[in-house]
Amino acid sequence: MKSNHNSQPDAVPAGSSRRDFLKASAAIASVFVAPGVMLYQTSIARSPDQAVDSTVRWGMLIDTNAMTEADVDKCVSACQREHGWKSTGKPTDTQWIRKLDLLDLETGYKKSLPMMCQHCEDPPCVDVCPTGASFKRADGIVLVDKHTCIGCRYCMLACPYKARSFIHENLTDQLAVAPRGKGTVESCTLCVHRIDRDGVNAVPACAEAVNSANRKPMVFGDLNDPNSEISRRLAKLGAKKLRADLGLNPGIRYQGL
Amino acid sequence: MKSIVLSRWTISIWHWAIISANSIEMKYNCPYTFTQALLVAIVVIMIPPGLFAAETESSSMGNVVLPRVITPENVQQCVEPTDIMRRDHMKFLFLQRDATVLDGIRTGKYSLTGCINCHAQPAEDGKIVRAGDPEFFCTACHQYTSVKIDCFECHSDRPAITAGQLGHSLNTRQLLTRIDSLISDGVHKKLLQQVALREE
Repeated sequence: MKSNHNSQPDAVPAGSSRRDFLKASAAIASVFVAPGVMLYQTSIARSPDQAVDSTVRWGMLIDTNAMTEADVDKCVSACQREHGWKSTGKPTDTQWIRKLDLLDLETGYKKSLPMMCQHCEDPPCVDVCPTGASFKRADGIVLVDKHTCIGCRYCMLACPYKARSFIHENLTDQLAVAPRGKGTVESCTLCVHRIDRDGVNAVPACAEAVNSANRKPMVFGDLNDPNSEISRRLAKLGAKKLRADLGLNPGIRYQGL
Repeated sequence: MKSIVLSRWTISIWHWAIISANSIEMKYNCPYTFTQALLVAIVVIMIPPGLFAAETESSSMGNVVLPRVITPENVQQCVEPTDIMRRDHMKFLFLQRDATVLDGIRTGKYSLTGCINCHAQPAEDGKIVRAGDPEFFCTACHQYTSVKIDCFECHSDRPAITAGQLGHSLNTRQLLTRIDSLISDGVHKKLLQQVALREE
């Protein structure tokens, strides 16, 4: 790569991004490795008036070691503010995101982590939905189309993470970004309205609440792009998929469990 | 159309009346004035519906509450001309709904948020009209046409922005950018506080 750069100084002008250069190198490399086969697909930000596609797969990495119990509470309240839901303490409460307390009975070690829709690659909620309301968007976000949801709650039973909840009563004063209503099932949308607006620069409300300039316990990004921060951190430190035995390949990954 | 049907009906009544009046006269040897009286009676009966029909077509809607059409100053026209919007707004909304929910396309100009941002602005007297109110923009016509919608059981019936912040080209992206700038100004926190206070 270096010799290439030296021999053709005009090919990589000072203003051009390193990313473009890497893309070009990858394209040249692919010719030598296997003609017609790219080593990886580079994710190019989609135009906002184009449909989402499967070149990206959104995911989130949660570093549970870096998160305190207060951080988890912050996540929950940020989600409530963003989408206009609240908890009343009833067992049938709305739960887009909840605090999960873990306790090791042997040692007494405690840990809290945020639990929400894991945005599976093979979501069981989609398999069981009788109307097709529960669906996976091309970019990996699992959503409920509430226009077709009939409120049967099969998806709630099918979800091994108990990530979904049902709205039992009439609601008023919903927010424009999060339409919610009686008789439908709902769950974490990975702040899809922010993703559609900001693309790769989007940050879900929960991550925004806990991340700061000097620490970043929740990393949102594209799992398909090996250069994204989330992919680099996963490559370096690895992470757990919850209930990996089920083979659902969730998009939310946990470090430090 | 209505007047043609009405006139055919009138003519058939007229024929029936003359025939039956003649047969009554022949049977009972009634004076000619009976036919006259019958015709006058029929004419008197026929006039009021005709007048009513003319009135409905031309001006008021009777007891129907007319919608409050609130047009922000810097918006000249809706996303389509009024006649097209009247007839086809639901088709636009359905198409864009699926594009948004399934494909994540939020730039279309037919967004429900866009409708609400313009058409549900509080009036000059500050009155906020909610979806259940017959004066609400959508409800007024839907009530008249007996259309039942459930959009506002889930969707917000209040504008995300105020009239002063509306420009033309009701582009969701622009609106969201404006909403974001408002959020960074802390406006939404104040609103949420108000909501919380009201609920308490």
